[in-house]
Amino acid sequence: MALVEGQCDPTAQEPVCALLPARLARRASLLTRMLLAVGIQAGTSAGVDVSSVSTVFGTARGEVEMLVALLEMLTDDGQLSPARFHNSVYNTASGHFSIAAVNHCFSTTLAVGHDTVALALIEAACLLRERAEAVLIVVGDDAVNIPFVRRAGAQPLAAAICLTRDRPAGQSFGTLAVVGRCQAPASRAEIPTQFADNPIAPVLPLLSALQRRSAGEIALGGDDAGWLVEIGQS
Amino acid sequence: MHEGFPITAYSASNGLGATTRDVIQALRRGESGLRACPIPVPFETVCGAIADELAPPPPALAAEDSRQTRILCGLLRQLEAPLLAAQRRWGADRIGVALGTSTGGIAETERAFSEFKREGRAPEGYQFSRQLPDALLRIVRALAPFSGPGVVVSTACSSSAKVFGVARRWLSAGLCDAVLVGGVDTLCQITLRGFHSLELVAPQPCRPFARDRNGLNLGEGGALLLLEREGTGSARLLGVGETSDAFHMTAPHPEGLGAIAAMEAAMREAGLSAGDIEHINAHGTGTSLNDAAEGKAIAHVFGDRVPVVSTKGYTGHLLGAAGATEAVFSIASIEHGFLPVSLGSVPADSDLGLQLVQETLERRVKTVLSNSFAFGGNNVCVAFGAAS
Repeated sequence: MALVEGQCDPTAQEPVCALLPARLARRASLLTRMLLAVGIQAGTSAGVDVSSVSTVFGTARGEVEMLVALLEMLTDDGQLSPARFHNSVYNTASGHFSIAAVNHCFSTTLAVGHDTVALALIEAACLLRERAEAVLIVVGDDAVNIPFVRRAGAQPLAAAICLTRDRPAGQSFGTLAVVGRCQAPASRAEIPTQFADNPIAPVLPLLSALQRRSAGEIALGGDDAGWLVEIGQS
Repeated sequence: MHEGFPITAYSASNGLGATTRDVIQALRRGESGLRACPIPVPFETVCGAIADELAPPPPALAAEDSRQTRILCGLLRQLEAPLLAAQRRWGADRIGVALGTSTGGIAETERAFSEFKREGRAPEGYQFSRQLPDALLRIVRALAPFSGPGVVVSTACSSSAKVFGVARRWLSAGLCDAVLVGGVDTLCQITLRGFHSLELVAPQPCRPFARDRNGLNLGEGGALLLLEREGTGSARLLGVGETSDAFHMTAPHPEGLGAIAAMEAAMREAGLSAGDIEHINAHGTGTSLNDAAEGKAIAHVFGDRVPVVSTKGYTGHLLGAAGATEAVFSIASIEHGFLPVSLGSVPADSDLGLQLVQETLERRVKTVLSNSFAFGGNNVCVAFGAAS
């Protein structure tokens, strides 16, 4: 697999996705807007057609903003907003992406805790092996603003990686191969404290190594176990 | 026809019964599992809920206890022997787990939030992690210690149909020699009231593909299926088609374009043509728009030649567990040689041009398609075939 483009902007306050119709953007959560912004940006930068690329979305905690709004409505008068409801499913961003990009292809959404990034890479690798020319991996998790759930180090974060089956040497950030499961602590040294408890944070050292064109192995996952990924030079 | 991968064991639990045997027997008898909704809501409806008391998980998993966990534990208990045999045959590290859920354990957070609003604190022992989809994986790994890849797909109502695509890719790529797939979902206030806010909930038992259909019913339950590289089973997974409508978050494409593409992709992957298909287990929710779009899609590909059944009238819509549950129903048709009556479909919507199964048919079938469609325009069609 060749990694063509990776995008991550943890400081963005207002993610913008020009392809998303305004009426959808107004009702979408921060998470969905972040996922669409980085997804479209990575796909476009990589030079792939966002209307025909397969997409693998990953979010371990899903649409928490919509969930909290629905919980408030439940305890208020019990009447739920239909828009909040249909935007509360984990695959909200996947659906919005397909509509915004007029993409009729394969799309999935995975939710595997701290293994979400690793399993998204495995799914993408299998899709490339099976049929796809390019796969866009789009991962993200929002803060958990439920009053009795404390997640101090889980600020919103989203990132996207575009993988292609083949790409001429020098025209990518490198190659990726999933080596297998590992028991060693994951590579978390480069994860800033505000993202330490964001399940998607393992993507940060991966993107960092790719942008440095640094070959070697990286463990993706939580504190105790994860998946070993090998970065090679293109 | 491609060889595919054998399905060597399965279990199901839903409003038709707590055990697979009870579920299949009720399906064959044409008995509905829809009854009074066990969750108080301010509107009329019926639900498919498991009537039996569900046993708690083993003491070591007490912190994970929820209705979702209890359903999953029951499904795993039913598969103890085949899962142990697979572990001995292939090794724990060669067995993967791919599960689907939409609602997860959100009912736990609903209760906690309500208590927090009343009392100013969440209930003792509440854990946010219990509502997350990967709670399912923790349970499976604790009770059946497979150490191959594990994933949870959450694409709303297609979640546990998409896991067949995951399993097929993992087996084809040599990542695993066996994959346990399935899905679990439970009833909760948000889904009941949410679908009601969309004006999609039927007050009476749903009537998929009927002329006067007026909405869906919700249900709870789950199903697990064991796929192996080689093995003995009555049915095989032949192919999976996965597409997007790119049309609307809740309404299907009116001409069923995404559904057509998914069915054609599943048949292509299975090495089958439309003339080979002998039965379709439709998504068939009973809503006006779904059944019209799916009906047009089926009629476009197959005309009125193939017997079509919606099993939502038996179980209600199981959301993230629907795909795996209806896979079990499809396999039951192959294994036991019957097509269940499509409950509630009389008088049929003749504009759809479908051949609906209006009484239970004793008939051998070798090839079945099972459709699952979801919010976001996510479409999956899974092709199953009889063991050769």
